[in-house]
Amino acid sequence: MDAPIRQAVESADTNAPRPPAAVPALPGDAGFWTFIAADAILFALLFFQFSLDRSHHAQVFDAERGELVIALGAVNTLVLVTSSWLMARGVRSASLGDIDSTLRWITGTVSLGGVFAVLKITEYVLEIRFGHAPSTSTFFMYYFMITGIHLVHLLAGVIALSAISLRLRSAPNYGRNRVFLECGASYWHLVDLLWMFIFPLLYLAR
Amino acid sequence: MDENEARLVRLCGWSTFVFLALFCLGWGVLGRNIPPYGADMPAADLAAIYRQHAVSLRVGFAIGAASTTFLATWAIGLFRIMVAMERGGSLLSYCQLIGGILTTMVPFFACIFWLTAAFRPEQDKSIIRLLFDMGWLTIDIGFGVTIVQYVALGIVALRDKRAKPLFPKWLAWLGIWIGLEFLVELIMPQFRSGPFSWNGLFAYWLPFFAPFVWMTGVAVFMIKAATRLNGEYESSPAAVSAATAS
Amino acid sequence: MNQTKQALANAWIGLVVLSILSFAIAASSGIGPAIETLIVIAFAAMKGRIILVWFMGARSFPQAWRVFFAMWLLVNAVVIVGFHLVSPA
Repeated sequence: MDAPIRQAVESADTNAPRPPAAVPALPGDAGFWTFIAADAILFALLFFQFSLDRSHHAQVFDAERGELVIALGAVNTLVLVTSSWLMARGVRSASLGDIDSTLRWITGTVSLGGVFAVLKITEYVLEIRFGHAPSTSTFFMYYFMITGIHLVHLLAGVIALSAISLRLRSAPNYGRNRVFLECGASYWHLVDLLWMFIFPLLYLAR
Repeated sequence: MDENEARLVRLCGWSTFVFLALFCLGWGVLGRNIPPYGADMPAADLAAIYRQHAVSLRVGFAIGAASTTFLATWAIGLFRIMVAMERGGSLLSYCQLIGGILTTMVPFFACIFWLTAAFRPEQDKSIIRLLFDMGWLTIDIGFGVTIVQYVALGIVALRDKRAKPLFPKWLAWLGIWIGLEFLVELIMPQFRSGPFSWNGLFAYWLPFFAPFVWMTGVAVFMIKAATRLNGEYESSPAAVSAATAS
Repeated sequence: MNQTKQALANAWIGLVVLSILSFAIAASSGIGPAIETLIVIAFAAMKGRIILVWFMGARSFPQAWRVFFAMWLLVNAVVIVGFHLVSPA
């Protein structure tokens, strides 16, 4: 980025108060938030169903929870919140006209998404080696299903953000890509938001 | 589209409600599928139910099978609207049409399997259970073509550039979401009980009743769309010159 | 969705701190299961709120959507904690 542009971008930042939004609005395309809301409701139902079933077999669930590789889940939590931060930085850069930086932030986001997926699959392999599978117990059914459905969502997000990145690369124009970028970012933040509950629910709560 | 065609398309929209009413009555109520018996039900118990309720099951599944005709008319009416909406050819409109028509065969054959079990309920309980299983596996795993239908409709509806789109964007996105949610059914055969088995929250309640609600919305907007497209046609240069020439 | 660099960094720090605190609380043996569950799920809801407000820009959402997400966080937390408290391990 040219030095004068970099200066302009950075001085637009700092201490000036943010003007309030003129009209309350959802980022990206408003209709897409129906998709986000539906996903949020799906996971709320998963959390409810898990909690209900756990209440009938609390001790068994807790014993099996102890078989999880909590460290990998913990690392993944940090990976995902960081990826979400990078995504937010990417949206901010784009709104300031700095598409080059946006592309770098999105690459970071997608890379961390990849790290999450690799760690998650490693966890699955370890659990299967320990003798746990979706069919071995109710707890592990929920573990594999909830984290598996989440992983599918994450991978879909990786694909979507990669496509948005390619689009930005071929036509580095914020106006034409704003809706795609904000929808992609909102979806990614949802994936992160869901994990904020999934991790403590499955790995930590007793 | 002209007034005659618009009238037929509106009828196709109304046929959605006919499907929903007949299917819920036939498959759902008479077929004893709200909620269905679980995959873990002992064969003897299942056979006893089929023997005790054979008549209502036969009536129900015959109605259920026949009602899928109106899934076809729904897809055909949607096709005509989508052809008017789609820019750059009609490929996605055909995807919806063919996905929708093939979707009619999924609940159709499922109902036929259950009807067969009820047709001769005195037969071996293992055969009754086999047919029962076949029905559920068919209706649950046949979702691929339905995803094609819902996603094609969603994409065309999202690309509608009218100031007030014929289908609201939230309805398009909801259809895409529901279609993709069917993928959870892929894991259903692994479970004979619990929320992911064929009578569970995620493999039954959500994937059956969310589409029913969504289809109602699609039908409402289809009926309005036919009128709007007729209005667009009536005010178009082609219609005006045809009217002046006659 | 447009925040200052500092606000976004602060949000990230908040998320990391709450996450590490959750791990630490779960790993420590001095806290009873009920309190531990309450804390980690409360932290989950707080982290959710940070993501919604600072990353997703929820303060600019229409009222109905702000309510939807607030209720989503609250209902999840209450349901999870509720079921865990009535059936301790």
